[in-house]
Amino acid sequence: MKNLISYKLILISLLFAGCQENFLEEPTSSIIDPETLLTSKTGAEVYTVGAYDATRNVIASNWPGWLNIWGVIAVDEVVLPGWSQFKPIYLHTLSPSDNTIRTLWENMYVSLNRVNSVVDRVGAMTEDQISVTDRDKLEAEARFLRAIINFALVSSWENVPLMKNETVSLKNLEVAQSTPQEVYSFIEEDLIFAKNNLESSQGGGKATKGAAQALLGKVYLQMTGHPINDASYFAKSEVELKAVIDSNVYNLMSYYPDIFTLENEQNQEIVFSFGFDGPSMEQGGRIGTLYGPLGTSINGGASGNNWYVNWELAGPATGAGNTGNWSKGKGGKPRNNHPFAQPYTDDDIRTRNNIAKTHVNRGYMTGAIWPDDAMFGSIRNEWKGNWKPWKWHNIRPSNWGNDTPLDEAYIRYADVLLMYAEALNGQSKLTQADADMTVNLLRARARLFPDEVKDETLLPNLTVGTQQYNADEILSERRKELCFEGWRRNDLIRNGVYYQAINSSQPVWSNSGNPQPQYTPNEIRWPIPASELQINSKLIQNEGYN
Amino acid sequence: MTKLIISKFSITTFLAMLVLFCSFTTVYGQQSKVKGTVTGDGSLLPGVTVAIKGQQVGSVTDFDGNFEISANKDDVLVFSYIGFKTQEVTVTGSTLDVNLVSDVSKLDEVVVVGYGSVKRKDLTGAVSTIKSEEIEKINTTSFEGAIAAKAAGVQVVRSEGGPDAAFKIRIRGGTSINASNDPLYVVDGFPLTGGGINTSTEMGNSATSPLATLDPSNIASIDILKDASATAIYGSRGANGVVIITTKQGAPGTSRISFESFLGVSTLASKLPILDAQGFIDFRNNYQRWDPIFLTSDPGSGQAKYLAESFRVPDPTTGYYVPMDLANMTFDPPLLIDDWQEAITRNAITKNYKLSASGGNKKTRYNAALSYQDREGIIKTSGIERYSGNFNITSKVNDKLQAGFNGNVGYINRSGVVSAATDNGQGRAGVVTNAVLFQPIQSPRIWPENEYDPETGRLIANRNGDVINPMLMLSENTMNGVTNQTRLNTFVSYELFKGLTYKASLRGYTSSVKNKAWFSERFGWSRALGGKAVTSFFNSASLATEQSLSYLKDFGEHRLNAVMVYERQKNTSESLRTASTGFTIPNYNLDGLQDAVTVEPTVSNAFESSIESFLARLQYDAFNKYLLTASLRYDGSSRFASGDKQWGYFPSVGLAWRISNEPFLMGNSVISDAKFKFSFGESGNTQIPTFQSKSAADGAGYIFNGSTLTPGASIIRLANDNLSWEKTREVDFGLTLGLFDDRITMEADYYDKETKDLLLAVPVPVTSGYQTVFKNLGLVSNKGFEFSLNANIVDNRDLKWNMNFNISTNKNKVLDLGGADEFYVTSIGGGGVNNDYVIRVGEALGSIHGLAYDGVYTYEDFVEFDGMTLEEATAAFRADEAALGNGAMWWSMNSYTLKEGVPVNATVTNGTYRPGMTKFKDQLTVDTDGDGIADATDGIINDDDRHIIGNTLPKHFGGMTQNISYKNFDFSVQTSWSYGNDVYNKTMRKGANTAVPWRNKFDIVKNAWTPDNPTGTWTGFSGGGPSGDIGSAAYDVFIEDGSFFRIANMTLGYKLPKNMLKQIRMSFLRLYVSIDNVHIWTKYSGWDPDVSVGNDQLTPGLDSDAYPRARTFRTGIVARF
Repeated sequence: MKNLISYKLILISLLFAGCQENFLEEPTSSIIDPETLLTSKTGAEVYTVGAYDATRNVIASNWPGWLNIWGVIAVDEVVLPGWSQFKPIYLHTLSPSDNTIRTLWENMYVSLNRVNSVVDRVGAMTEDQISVTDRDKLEAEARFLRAIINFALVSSWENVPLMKNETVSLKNLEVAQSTPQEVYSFIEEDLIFAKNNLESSQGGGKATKGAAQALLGKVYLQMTGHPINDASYFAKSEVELKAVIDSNVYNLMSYYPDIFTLENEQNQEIVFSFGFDGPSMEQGGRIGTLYGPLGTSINGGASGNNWYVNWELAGPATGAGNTGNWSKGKGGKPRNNHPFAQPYTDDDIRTRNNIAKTHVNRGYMTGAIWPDDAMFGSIRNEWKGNWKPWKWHNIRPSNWGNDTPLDEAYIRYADVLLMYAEALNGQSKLTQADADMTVNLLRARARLFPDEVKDETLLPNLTVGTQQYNADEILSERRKELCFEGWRRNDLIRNGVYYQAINSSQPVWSNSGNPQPQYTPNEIRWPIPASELQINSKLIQNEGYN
Repeated sequence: MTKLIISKFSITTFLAMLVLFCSFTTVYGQQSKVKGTVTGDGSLLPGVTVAIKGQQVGSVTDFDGNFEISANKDDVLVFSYIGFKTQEVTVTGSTLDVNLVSDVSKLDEVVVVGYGSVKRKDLTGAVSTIKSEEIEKINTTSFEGAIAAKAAGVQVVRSEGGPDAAFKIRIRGGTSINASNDPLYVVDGFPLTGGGINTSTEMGNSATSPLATLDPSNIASIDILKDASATAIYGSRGANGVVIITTKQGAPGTSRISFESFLGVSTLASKLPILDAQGFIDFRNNYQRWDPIFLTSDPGSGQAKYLAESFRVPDPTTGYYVPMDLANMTFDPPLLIDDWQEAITRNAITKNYKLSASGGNKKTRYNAALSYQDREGIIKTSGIERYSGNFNITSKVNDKLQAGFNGNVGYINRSGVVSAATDNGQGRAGVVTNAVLFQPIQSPRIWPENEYDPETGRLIANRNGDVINPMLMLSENTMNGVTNQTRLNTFVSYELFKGLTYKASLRGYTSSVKNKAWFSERFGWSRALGGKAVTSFFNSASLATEQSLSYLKDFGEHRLNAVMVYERQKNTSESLRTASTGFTIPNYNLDGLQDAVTVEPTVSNAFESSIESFLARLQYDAFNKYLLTASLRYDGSSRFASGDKQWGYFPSVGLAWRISNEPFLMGNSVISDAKFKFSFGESGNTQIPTFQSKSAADGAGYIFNGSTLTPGASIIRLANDNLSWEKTREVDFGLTLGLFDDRITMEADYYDKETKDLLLAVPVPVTSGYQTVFKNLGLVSNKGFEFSLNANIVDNRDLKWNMNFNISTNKNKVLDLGGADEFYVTSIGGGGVNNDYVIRVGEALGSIHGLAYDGVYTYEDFVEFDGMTLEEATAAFRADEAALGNGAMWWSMNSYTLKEGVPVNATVTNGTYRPGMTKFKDQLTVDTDGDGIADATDGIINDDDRHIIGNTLPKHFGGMTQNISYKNFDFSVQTSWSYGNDVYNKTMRKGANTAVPWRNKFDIVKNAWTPDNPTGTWTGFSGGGPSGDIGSAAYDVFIEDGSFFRIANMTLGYKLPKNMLKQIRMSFLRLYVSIDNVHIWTKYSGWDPDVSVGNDQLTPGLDSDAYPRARTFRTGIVARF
């Protein structure tokens, strides 16, 4: 009896204990292990896609995106209403503890590490895992994306830690800043590798040889201005941009509004853009929210914390409530358009496309057809206080809200043409023929309306003049053509006129405040976030901030 | 599949037992000589053992408490019954009625301490016990509401007011920052983490108790382990205290069936102070003046004219518009006026029924209960329906072998509303916030930027759809859920030889939660999507095995009780979420996700974690005076880096000296019991997400070719091979005292606990690619004092008065954050506010961080009005306004300059100010003498001026209960209080913004600065222009004193007397009326200061979009057959 019971007990014990190997191991079916992923070409491709996602997350308008925060706010394209959280950027009252700057800095480096991880890990794959050609191509894509992030970092903060590799250990996490020259050299190295290992095609959103060359041309051009200030890069820029033009991969869209539609996002004019789609796929962007007319989203409006257009870009107004001299700002203060910041004329298709002069709810009430009536119809020219940037056109009803499916351009062929003209002019060798195949192509397109071509007198062609005159015209044309695409601040800085541009900025809203009195020269760059200085003793705050 | 089998099994078992054991009603009888009835506590007692002293003869009372026994005169009958003092009565005649006295001695009370139990007098640790009578008094859906204010050192805060809202339990303060602060729940031996379960999906942050399916009336006792001597036995999971729940068991004796039912009516306990219709009219008319120019022109966008005329009517003689006066004007058609707080709420009915059977004999004991509850929420459409079954059976197979089986199955069907929303705007907030902010009167004027119902003409949403008609939200949107939970425990034990018992237990738990929500295509954020339907599933299962050897032995004056346990537990969980948008077929959405325009990507997840433990405990008692408890647990947890870091020791020791058993106190007439206690020990916390020690990549897809989604992956986490648990060390000094034969007992404890190696998400330089990394760093301290008192003030045969009182203090302090000085936390509720909570070295957790509101800038602050009297200044200001013309308002005149020395706001350029803009108190932010302490102001209001503006932890809290019974009547009052805690009224912030005229406001805006009210201290109006507000910061004006004193419950009951019971063939019948949340005394202006919405433990005391609190009137019956 006793034996029987002991036997039973042992049995029960075994039953309940249920011996098991690795009882304390957590199975990892719901996470991805990069080590096991990166053993084949397919795995390497999946991992490289992650680099695109990482770059898009910080540069494009998965908010806050660098193109918008750095390139649009705080230049002469928009003004911000009183409730905007981006007010300190607009007003140039940024403190190192500003939340937006901190978030952007943090996101930039998180993304940079992800891209570095692709460069390092894909680059280290062996030939039995992936062919050398495939590996180099994927590495080149990642290095192109890394150049985009580093270019944004060095543009915005100038003195930034240069992270060349993925972080793999918790040791030695404090890294000192590099000089802007060192960062630019690293960008150059990446882009040269990229252009040498990528194929020439439009790419449909993938990095290509043309994209790498266009960006290299852009980077070289930027190096001619602050903080590198080396005019010898005009020539290098010219070479890269000429190669893009000569590749015949890209061309201008004939009708300006067609560039920004959902139907043909990867059109022939797109050299590189960030892909978005949606709605509700966690792949949506924010340009529909940041830029769009006033009103409820169901009616096609962009609700939310958005900004208003700077009147000095917007051009004349003729509608109700806009009586008086449009060229006078609120309170009758004189406006201050610079030669490099000319306004749209009313018959420039780009003002029709890029600026919403109406409140969509009103149009909706009158049964307007969207967006045609907003651009050409009777409901244009609402009260100026309602004017808003609106470049990428939502259909009505907008099913997107904050979740816009529109791709966001990074470099357009129009940009390449204007940069090419600028590179030539920088070397004092811009000819009328050059102007005709660049600036004047864009002006001709701007005169093209749906059913007519406007007279040339309304938007005359550029006749090449002095180098300064040409430079002003090109810079002004860049604003009209590329406004809200995120390059204005770099353009102004490169041309040495950033301060003058802020100085002229004309508030529309009484409450938007005026950035001009607050500006001090050190604010050409952003402060290093205070939180980062606190935990990294090797960092030095940018001059003038404390 | 497993789950299905288990639940089927449990239900059939349950039914079988009901049938089986109901037939156990057995009457033993012998030839009658002596007859009688036994009563106790107002009840006829069946199953009382009646024995003749010194003989083997015995009997048991029957169903009606009657007994018969053949006995000789002068025989002594011994009446014994569990829970009552054994009584000996000498036989004098043929009838003998006995009234047993309940055994109230707290000293002999059995306290469950985990892996065993001890008598309270032998306890060396700090354990609070709450018995079923107390738990049943306040009827909340889950047990937590019933233990609030009942146990010293245990803070129970209700998240919000909904019918099954979760509670936050903090035992002796929060020890952790990033790991959970919830205690470990142990239900009949099954360990379960005490965090809330989400009941909202997509929107809102409402949660319910993890034990919501367990009917609290099935709980026999709750033992709360507080100090390390008690909690260390739970090792790596004990640091936040342990709540041990023991469900009811049958008592040997005749079986008993009882029926309980109550009917309750709940009403809104209080209303928020918001503007009524006339108040809103006045606000709007103050906001925009009317100007004769509006008769001929429509300046600007027409908005000014609309605002000026929307709540004015033309004067018939002049044609000029004059304000509406609801009291003295008539309107045809009538104006649409609503009190939305009234409109969305109702008198909610609660119905509850419970049937239970219990009983047993010497070998087998059982208890089974089935209950049903239908509880409506006071907000229309919300409520829960619960079915809960509980059963418990233990059987002695023979003298040595014993086996038991118990379980709980529950099902909840929930309908709800969005509350505690993360964000607001576009109707993203819950129905409560929309009821507060939606205008209480609709203007007869149509404004094209508003949305109206084409059929009824009622306003659907205000300008830009920001705030939604709350009644429409209630009728269109749904937020439903279903919860199924099953807990099953079984054990066998065998006494190997005298004193040494082996026990093996197997415990299983499954839980499945399905939430589904529909957001209408007719309004709000979901309108643009064509409506959105979301379904989410969360399933979890857990299996635990435990094997123990226990040894009990008396060696004369020495007693030994030792236990050794091997235990392991594995938890798995899975989640799945699907959503679709764009529904075109009316009323076909949630249950037809596939027929939507867009089907969102499905999201799935699975986690597994495990723990393996060896533990031992030794209890030793010498001479009934000296007590020692020592325990050691060795735990391995899968949450940490493989190898050494997974394993750790958790030791404890407790000592007690029962000084009352020393010769010099023996027989003392005053002190009947006195014991000094000291304990020391270490316990741990493992509650962080899974996989934190492993390097990982996460999905990162991308769009190519305009619309092709391509899968991708991206690195998200750095491996940390050193990750291990948090450790909490605690010292406890205690004294228990019993006076006057234990009529007064008290217990006092002082504790000091320190948590080190916190599982902290430590910020690292983000250039590494990581913002934070989980590391074992940091130090948090909790120190406190607890006192509880129980007094039987009057203890007569007819009148009894018992009082119970407890008070606790806890001082929490963050001592080290691994090198950082502070972390900021942003609470839910949106509105652009960020960093409104802070965790700062030297401060307590739960600190609120923001700016000090200083009213408004007044004329005296401006250069332009320098030296003017108030009248002159007003005149000058009015003259400037008149110069604007076109109906323009003074609030757009941002052209004044502040005087030197007046603090300026960093977001507003000097020269663009005006009177009435928000002013803040400049803080000391500049260190002039270089001593590291700021000692001067800088004259600029910016982020540097944010400081700690409130703390949500109370200075002390507690409760008091009075139980009075007179003959068959009983009366009890339960009170609770909290003192010195702040509440962050974020709902009010949304309704206090004077920049936006479209929404309704809190009464506070009546005091807004205007030229007509130049002494107003609230921010003046602004037309979207600078109001001086710094929207990103919390303000101290919204931090309110959350101290309160509450009468939590009053109950009056009546037990039917013996003779009436006999007539109706019942053994017990009690009728009662009861009121929950009778009254609260507080300065807090929100629904209720006992609030803490959201799932973030770092933002306690937050009141944002909270479900309101109810007052409940109940009437009920308890009957036993």
